[in-house]
Amino acid sequence: MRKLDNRTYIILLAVSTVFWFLFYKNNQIHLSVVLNALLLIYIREYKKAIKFAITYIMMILLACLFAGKIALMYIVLNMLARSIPIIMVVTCIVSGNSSELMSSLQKLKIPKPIIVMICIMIRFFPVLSKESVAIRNGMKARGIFSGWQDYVKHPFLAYECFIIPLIIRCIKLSDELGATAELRGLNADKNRTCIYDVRFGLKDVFAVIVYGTVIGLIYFGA
Amino acid sequence: MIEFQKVYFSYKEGDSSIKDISFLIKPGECTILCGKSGSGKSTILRTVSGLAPVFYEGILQGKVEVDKLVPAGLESEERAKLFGVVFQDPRSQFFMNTVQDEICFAAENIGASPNKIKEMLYEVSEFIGIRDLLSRNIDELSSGQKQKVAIASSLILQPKVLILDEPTSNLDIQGSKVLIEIIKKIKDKGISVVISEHRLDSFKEVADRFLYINKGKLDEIWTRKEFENLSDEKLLSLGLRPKTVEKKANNDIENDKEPLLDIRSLSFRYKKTNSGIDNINLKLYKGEVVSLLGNNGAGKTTLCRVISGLLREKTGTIKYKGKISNCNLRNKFCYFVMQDADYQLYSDSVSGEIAFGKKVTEKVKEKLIESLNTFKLMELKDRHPASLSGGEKQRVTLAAAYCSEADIYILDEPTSGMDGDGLCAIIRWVKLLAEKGKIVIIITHDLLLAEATSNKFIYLEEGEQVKEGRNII
Repeated sequence: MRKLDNRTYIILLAVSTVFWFLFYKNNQIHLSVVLNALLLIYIREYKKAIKFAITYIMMILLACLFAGKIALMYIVLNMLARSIPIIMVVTCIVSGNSSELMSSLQKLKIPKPIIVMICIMIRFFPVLSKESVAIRNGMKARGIFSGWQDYVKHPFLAYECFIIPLIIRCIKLSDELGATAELRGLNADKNRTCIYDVRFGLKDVFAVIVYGTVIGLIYFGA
Repeated sequence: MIEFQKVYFSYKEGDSSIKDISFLIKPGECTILCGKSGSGKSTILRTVSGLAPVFYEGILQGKVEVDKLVPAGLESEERAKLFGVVFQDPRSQFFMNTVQDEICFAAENIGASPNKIKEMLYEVSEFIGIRDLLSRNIDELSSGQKQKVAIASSLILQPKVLILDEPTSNLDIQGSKVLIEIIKKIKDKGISVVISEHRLDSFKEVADRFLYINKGKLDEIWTRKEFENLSDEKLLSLGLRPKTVEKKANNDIENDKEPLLDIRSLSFRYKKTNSGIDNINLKLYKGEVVSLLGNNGAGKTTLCRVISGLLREKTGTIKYKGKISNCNLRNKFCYFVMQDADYQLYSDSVSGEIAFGKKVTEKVKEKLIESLNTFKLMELKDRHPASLSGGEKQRVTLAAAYCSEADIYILDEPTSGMDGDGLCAIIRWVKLLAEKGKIVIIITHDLLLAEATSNKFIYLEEGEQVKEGRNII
């Protein structure tokens, strides 16, 4: 992965969020998806770029299908599709290296508790999805909710069955993570160091300028 | 190095506590804490590291000193330098995504210089033997490798005390051997090692002393020699795992009948990793107990997931009572009890859990009462499953399985993290199921359990059935 500094991504996220609020035409959102896909390609996250692009196109097509028929679906799908460009920039931060991210955030003078929270959150997403799969398997293994029909028939029960073990597991995990954090010096008063060289370099400046110019052009041009 | 003098600790909620504990551990000594589940072993470990009362609130009395320092009064940084701690489930203590970052984590936190950290990283990864894993993603590692990473991360600051909480519970036999070798090397460096463990026998090479904790009190201290001389009866009476068990008699299965389950050239491959199982052939008869043995990643769980219908086979057939059955059907007559019972408990009471998903008819009620009685859960029937101990939870899932219509039971590592009483209980339940004519398949690394219950042993290696027999080889 060709990397930019995490501070660059944070700036890009801020810039794209501001414009995202300003965009009033569908074309502008389309183009910003293209721009962010190019950003993902630039940092060599090809698969993610393709995945997001396809998801976006599917959602827009579906929304068009529902247009004029089921208004609620149209609105929901459009909202989801609209959030994709922002999620794409967030992906750049999340899929990177947590150690570097902590270091970058520290350089931005963000308070330590918040840095720790962000990093644990990033770490928690994959864990959550793994836990969910395990619970799903657990249900299936007990012969409960073995087919999708059962979910449709008893949606609330299914939700309960899923959420209770998930909460119990999360409490257990967070308890242990907290204890480990204490034992591994995460609460130490000193400034954290990082084995990687975290630097805001020329290519970061270049990226911010190009990204800012293009998104500006999209806003004023499209 | 570690000194305890008349130490008492009680948690804020006042549930479990330790009483009047006194002992002394020298540098480079390996001490094993043993005792029944819930006897207070973990609390002692927490008091050693100062987590109790700093993180787990409670009242501490008496004198605790580690390297002439009081652990409860240490700053986070000093604590990180003094102790290395590895928890039972290494998964829940990783903060970073790659092995290298994880190992460096503690050193970065206390602000060591990057060059110094890199030096220490290479030193510790060489020492543990994971140099080749440094750039790997942690989620891709096997449980044995994860454990090594966890140990390496706890050693980076060159602590004086290493604390391991049930380190073998997720390891296979090979992994446990490697762990013992690593502990030997750590001891040679003069680091004191304190381990809480149920599988004592595997530690007899490295342990200098065994402390037996009972109901929060230090009841007995054994040297290695004294431990070796303890009889199985004595160990069992103390609630510890015995060294050997009575083998199951092998002549009680009639093999001339039609097999209940007939598996022929069964194969499955995961798309992502292309690992899986190949050409498995197996005939199982009513009342048979089979142990699936083999290292982690050999395909034991995969095979059982295919048998139980959680995965669809790629090729091959599974016949149940002489008829080919697809995975939906198999899902009905197989019952898979996962290693971690938390994933399989959904209801708000034990009796609700056992009858979960069934229409409450008179017949189900009868069956429910029978299950509660058989698994001795009558007293617990109104408790919330989440409030039970690990062994009790497992018993509830077994009772739920018993109450279902299933004929085939699959138990995944049922004795992981269990004391002697837990082991005996599982042996009893498995025998009971077999007597009722059910087939029980056990995935395990626990040879005691396998020996005591099974009349067939199947060894898997890289997804292939390498050995099969009526005795452990």
